[in-house]
Amino acid sequence: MSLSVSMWGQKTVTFEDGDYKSIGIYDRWEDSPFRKGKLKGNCAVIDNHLADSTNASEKILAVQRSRFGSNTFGVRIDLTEPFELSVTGKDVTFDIHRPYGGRVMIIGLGRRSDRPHQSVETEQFTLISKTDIPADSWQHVTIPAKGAPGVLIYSIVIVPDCESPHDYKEDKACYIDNINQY
Amino acid sequence: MNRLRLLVVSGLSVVSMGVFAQLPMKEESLKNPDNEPSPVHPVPHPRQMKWQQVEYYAFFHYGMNTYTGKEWGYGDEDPAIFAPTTYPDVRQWLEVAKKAGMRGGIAVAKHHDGFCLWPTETTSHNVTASGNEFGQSVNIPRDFAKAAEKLDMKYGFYVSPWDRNSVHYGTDRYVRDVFLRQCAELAQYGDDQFEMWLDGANGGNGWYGGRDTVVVVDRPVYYDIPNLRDSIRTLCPDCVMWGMGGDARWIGNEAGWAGETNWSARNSWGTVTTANMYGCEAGWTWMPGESDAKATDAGWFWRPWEKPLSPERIFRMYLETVGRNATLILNLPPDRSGLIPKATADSLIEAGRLIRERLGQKDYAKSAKVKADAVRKSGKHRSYKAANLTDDIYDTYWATDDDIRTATVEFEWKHPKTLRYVDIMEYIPKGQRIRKFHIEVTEDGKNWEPAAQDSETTTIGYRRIIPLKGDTRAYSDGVSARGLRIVIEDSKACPLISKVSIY
Repeated sequence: MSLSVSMWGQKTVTFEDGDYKSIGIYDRWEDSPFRKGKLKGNCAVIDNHLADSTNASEKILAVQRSRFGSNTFGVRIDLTEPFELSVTGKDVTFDIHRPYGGRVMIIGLGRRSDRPHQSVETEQFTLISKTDIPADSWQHVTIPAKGAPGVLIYSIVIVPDCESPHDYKEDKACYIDNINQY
Repeated sequence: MNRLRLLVVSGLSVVSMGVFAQLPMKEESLKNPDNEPSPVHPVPHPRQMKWQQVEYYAFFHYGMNTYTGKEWGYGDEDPAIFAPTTYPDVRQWLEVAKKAGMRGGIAVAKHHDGFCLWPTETTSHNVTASGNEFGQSVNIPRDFAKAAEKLDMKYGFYVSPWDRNSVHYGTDRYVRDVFLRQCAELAQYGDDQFEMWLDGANGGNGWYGGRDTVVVVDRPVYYDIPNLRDSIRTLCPDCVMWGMGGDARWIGNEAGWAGETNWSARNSWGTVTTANMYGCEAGWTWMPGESDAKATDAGWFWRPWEKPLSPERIFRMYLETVGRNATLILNLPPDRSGLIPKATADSLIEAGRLIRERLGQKDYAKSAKVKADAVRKSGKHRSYKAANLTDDIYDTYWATDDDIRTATVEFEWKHPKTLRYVDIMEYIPKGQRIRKFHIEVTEDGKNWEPAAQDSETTTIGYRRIIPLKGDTRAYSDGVSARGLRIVIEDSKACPLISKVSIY
């Protein structure tokens, strides 16, 4: 089966009409209880109960930010088809609504097109917002991503809270929508 | 609603069950029978932990530049210039390092001039084209790995991404067919390599196979670092990829010092002079600092007129690097015979003696009565008592309860001791925490006075060595004390200290 590679130019993952393959939990920390199978995590596509003028879409992605995860704990969105990174860089954008201030991160998982046996879960980029993203409202985040020629991205991980959770007493829900690359 | 409650109670993942009005929160908890503190992220990967524990190791700059007298070869050097007067004895290099107290070494396999010190398939610009039989038959990485194994030392290789000889440099073909393949060839000399040194210096002018031009690249993108890392990790799982590899950072100078405040965390950007020398308290990734410095007063490569630094100067470097939460890779350049010169070897070995004697022979912490004003509640199999500070077991540590971020540990002797250094190690597998501390001593057991006032007693990290009197520049006559306190004033979370030594 051959894979088609898309070059994004328009909104691609809106969570409205199954425009993604699957979702799950991801943590970069190798001793994470989510990697060791001790905890499962929690994420789902839900109705947009936070609709406003910034984001009026019907469906959004929700993830329970676990206090047991690391500062690179997030939700993974497996794409329906991979896209190729650009050496000059493309902006990855998304909308986020969460109860935390601070930084967010995106991680691209994929492989080189000339390494068919390489795991598609190889981290190809890990990029953090350079500024703090305000809490409690929809915020549009733009993070430029680039890579060597022939690098394909199969999944995007969004880390809704890139701070150490060691002081957190409870988990909180974070919401993501409209993931694009331009 | 009842359906939602059932899903939550039964612990089923909600992912596959359709769309919900709001995310039903799932109650998850982790058993913690040993009452272990939560990690303060970022934390080191196990390979970074093993790397940090090597602490002090050697750098061996040997290659074409040894014979041309250059520091950065242009790439147009005739391979016949490489003509060792004897067969290079890499075992002697490592023996010198071992006698000096170093635990490993990194050998240059290819520098910016592109001349490869092993019979690589990727380019003819290698040892097989050398000027004599000694050069033609040598294979530095192979011999180095074997010698390290025999001497029970850690080893790894420096391979310059920048290649001023290669006609393909600047094109995808260089990365795909030359550089990545060279790294893979080097990785096959031993799957237990502890570090691969990927020099950040690159781009600029060069021979480039006769193009004789300037080539500038966007380094992380051009060298495809994520996939280089993946390749090397597959072959050498514990190999820390220094510099451009992202596992450890350049300390920001080549003078042999780290900031007294030195966080192992860093962000993946930041100016060299700040984020490299001092780290970032709020850094998101664990990227500890390595200080690269020279044990001689000339260049990285051997020069006929070079003189070694004095043993005292090297001891000071040790205090200002290993003693400030960094590792120290100290350069010992082999000469044209392929040996470390005697003068350099002698100075290094003497410095090793100073390190052993001043920071290893008499640890007064072990004979002290030790106590802490706060101790974390024990778990089923683990306690956090103050005695853990002197048991020589890294994985046991003293800690306080979660809500206590300031505390004091105290060492007491029946009779006064002359003390010069206190050597503290945080338990960093759970992150670096301490922001500020100070030291106090008492001579009569009642009146406490501040000590180490010439030091910035801020961070600790993997290891912090504090001179109790004066600073790192001179070996003082010490302070007389029958009691010493480490007073933690500020910490990101409950402090965890694995070891305290007092010399």
